[in-house]
Amino acid sequence: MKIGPISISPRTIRNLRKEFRSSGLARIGVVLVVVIVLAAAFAPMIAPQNPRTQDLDRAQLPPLGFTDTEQQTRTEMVNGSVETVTENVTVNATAQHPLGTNSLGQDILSRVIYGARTSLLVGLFGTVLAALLGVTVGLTAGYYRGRVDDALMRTADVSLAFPSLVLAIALIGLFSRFQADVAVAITDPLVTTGVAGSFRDAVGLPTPMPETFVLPTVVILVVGFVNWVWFARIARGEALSVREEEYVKAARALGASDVRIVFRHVLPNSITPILVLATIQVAAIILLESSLSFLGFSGTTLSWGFDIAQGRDYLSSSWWIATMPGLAIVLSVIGINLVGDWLRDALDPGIEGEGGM
Amino acid sequence: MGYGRFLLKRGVQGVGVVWGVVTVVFILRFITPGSPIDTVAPLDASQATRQRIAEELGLNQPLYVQYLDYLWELLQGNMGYSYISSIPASVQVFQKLPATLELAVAASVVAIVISIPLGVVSATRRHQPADYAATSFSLLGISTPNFWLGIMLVLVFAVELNVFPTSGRAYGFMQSLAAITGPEPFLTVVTGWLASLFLPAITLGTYFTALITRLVRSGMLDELSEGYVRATRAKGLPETLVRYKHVLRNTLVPVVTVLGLQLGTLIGGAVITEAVFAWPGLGSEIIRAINARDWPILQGSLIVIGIGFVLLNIVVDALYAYLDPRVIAE
Amino acid sequence: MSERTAATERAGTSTEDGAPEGHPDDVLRVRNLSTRFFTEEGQINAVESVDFTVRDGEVFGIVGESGSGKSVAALSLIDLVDSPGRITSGEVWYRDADLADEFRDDVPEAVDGDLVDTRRLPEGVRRALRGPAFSMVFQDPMSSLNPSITVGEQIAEAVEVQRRARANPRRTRSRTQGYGMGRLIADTLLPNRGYTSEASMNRAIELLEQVGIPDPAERAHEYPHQFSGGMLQRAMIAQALAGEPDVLVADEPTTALDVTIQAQILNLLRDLQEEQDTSVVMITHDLGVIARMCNRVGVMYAGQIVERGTLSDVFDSPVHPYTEGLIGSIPDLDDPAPRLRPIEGNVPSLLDEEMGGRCFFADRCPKAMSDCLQPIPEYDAEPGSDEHAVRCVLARREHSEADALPSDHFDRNEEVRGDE
Repeated sequence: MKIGPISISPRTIRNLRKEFRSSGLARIGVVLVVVIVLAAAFAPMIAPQNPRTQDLDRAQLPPLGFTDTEQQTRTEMVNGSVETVTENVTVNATAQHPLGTNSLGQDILSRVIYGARTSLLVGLFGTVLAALLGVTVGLTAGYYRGRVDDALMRTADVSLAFPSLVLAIALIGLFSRFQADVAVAITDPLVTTGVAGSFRDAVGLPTPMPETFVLPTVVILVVGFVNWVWFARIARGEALSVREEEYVKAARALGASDVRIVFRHVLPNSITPILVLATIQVAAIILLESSLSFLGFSGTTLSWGFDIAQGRDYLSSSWWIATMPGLAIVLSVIGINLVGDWLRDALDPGIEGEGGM
Repeated sequence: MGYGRFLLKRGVQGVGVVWGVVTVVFILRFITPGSPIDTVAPLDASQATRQRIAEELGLNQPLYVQYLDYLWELLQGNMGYSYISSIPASVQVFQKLPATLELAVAASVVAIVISIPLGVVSATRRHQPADYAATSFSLLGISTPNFWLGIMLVLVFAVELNVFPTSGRAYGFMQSLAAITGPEPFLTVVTGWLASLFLPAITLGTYFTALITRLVRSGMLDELSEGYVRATRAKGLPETLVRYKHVLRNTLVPVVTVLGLQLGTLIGGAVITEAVFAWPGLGSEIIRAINARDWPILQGSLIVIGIGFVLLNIVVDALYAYLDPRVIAE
Repeated sequence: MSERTAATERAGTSTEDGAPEGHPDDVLRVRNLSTRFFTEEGQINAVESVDFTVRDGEVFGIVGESGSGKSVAALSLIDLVDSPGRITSGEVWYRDADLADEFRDDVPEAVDGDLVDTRRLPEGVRRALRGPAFSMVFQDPMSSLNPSITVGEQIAEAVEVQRRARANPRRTRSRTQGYGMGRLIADTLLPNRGYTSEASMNRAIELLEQVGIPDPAERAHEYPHQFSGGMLQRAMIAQALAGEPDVLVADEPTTALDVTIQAQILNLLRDLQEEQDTSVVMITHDLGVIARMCNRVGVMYAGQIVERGTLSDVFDSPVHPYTEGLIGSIPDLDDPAPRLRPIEGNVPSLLDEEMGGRCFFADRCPKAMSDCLQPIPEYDAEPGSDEHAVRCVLARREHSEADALPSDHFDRNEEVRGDE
């Protein structure tokens, strides 16, 4: 099986299958990841409500299975004089908002589903960017060695001395104030082509859904940029060992160019640990993105971290606002980590430990 | 090579890294949009005022001159003055540092004390209930965003159960020391301090507890299949020593390596934890400085963190060399 | 066509009360030892019904190819078989008068005179025997020592094990062997306390000197990677002898070393063994080593001992065709043949389901007969012979072409099995 210049051997596929069958955790992980991906992809079709629609009359509704009591005060005319009356009102959940609503009356389940999009997009694109940057640097450093290697690795050391979160905050915070668009609005094909609309009409869900979706590009760029080092280290290590292999020396003797050697020989043989690292990084970047939006450094408000920050103010009265998006994060990251474990156990690339945030 | 020379070599490398950090921090100001003048000058300042401020801040000089000035000042310990408060940046930064250090140390202690035995037990009782519990816990621990964990802990312990305070830092380490002889009752001070430190430390420490448990577990499983384990058992050495004196020592080597790389995560986590608990440390300070474009504070904080990071890495390297003497031979 | 008369079956294959018979000088008598590995692919019969004895002060060799089960047999003696392996049956009788007295009343069926069946003792007691009674030298010294602890310290540990066992045998037999978490934490936190002491370190240095390592006091504070292969193996031997064991098991001690160093190490072993009157079980695939070192030999094939006896029994008058093949495959300098004569075929799989209930060598044996298609017990090689035993029908009868198996007999059978 070939993906671009990289071919996946039948033995690898067999190992993957074998590990999948024998490990219950791997199956759980794959299920979780598939659920999240589907939710993100088909968000306009399956979300109960439009995530942005506010409805202050229905603010702070509890999730299904819970009831909430609120104190309401009214002023009333009683016997000709004005009095304030305080009473405890029971607020019931409704099936229209299975996970309740937040302080603006927005449906939490819908926001969670749409939030999956943000997290996945940032996670995937950020990882791809970090991988491209890091692998290029790492392979170059490992293959050429000498001064090139030294210079690049010193850069990596300095880069590591900046905690990635702090650096990300600094870059986003410092750049964003003077940018008109921190993020890019993308049209949502499912909505604009009417597919989502007809589906929802058929099923009986309210329409319309948002036509555009925000892609937080600055976040993606920054997140990819601060994480290149992990890929660089792995790629460098692989390049260092593969370059000593006989077939590489043979290729050089035959006059193959360096670029060709790296692409055709070094890269395909290094792909396994890079792949395992990539899954770990997707999880790490999702956590990073949620931390960034929690702190207010994100390009979009439709994000799990942002919702948690909002919910914090209502912790004592409506705990579900902050809890639900957090559960979504935990489940997604668990799923990705389990898939990462599956890959690592099946492919056994021999990398130590975990790449961090 | 010898232990001392090894450390010296690492120290020299560390200085190089610190210099790199300082340079990057310096350049940062020039590549971001906006100018310090905007921060310092009042909104309605005249052109003349702005010019004057520019002169004061040395912004009109060529780049390399500003750079060299900056380095020179730094070597003397001068990080400039906060654009907002006009307090010397070094004073402000070092004032906030202890709070962050307390948090980081507390979290690390919690993590190490719990995770190492947990990892060893998990590896030696493989596929038994203790192992399943430990692996489930560690999976959860690395998958939970720490700000959310902090909020949930606050929800349960502070809001509902009212056992711990919801936020803030009460007293501190130095104050606790002072209270041994000082006016305030020692017990009140210490319990107040620790109570306010408890939830933040757990929040920050959970990820690392989970991570280290995982690493120790997998490391030990690998290590237990090495040849010397059987040979050491063959000579009759008690199992406790086989595990903790021999196997764990070698297991910790890659664990320590990974931890060294994770120091950045620790600091990042501290920033978030401080935001969640309104813990008055360097992390909150950095966020404030970023939002306000208070460059001296931001730069000073980043440099202090960079230096701290380098120092910690040297300590980690020292530990590494102690555990595995072959490292020195390189 | 004469038959060997009075070829008696060895009594050792059935379980009986009391120790198996043997020589009064025996320090170890093994009867019917079987070790199996229960893996995902099936059950592997690594060691199958093995009998042998080791005499006080002698060197007993176990020779076989890789996969013959010799290493597992050695590990089984010291109870070091890890899961998924397990000793499934057998007795290991060890001569120790004190031990016999101690357990005579509690476990009478495990005691016979001065001999004690270690397999029937509590696990703690068996574990405590490692070091003071049995010790082992492994094949590759570099991977048998902890790379991050000094050589001297590791030898001092072995010294300490023996010292503590002698001082307080009861505590050494407990589950934690007298050293649990509490003690570990105390020793780590309190200064100047550890498992080993200055005394044990000094003894370790003495031992290093005994095995011929120059500057022992300095070298004791060095790490394994600072030693050469030969030096490190000497250190391992020092460690193995630290406990003053009665039986030293050496598993291919010279295989990983240069040829010139091999001779040195073997000489060292021999000298030490004579000095301290230790018995040695020498495991090797190298017939030269056997010839040089051993008094008595056991030949292992496919997990069984197929022939055993004194050195001259086995080398000069082998009965089993495998032994013949082994001896015959040694190149002879005095009479160089144009080609080497290997034994045809390959070592069989040890998977339980694939082993037939027959002589395991039959498919490679040039003298295989129809008698060989059933399980073969051990026979005396010569009538009334005490020492020389062989697991082959040729001890009872001559080879006859009339009963010989056709050469493709096993190919056919394998084909048939393959169809199922």
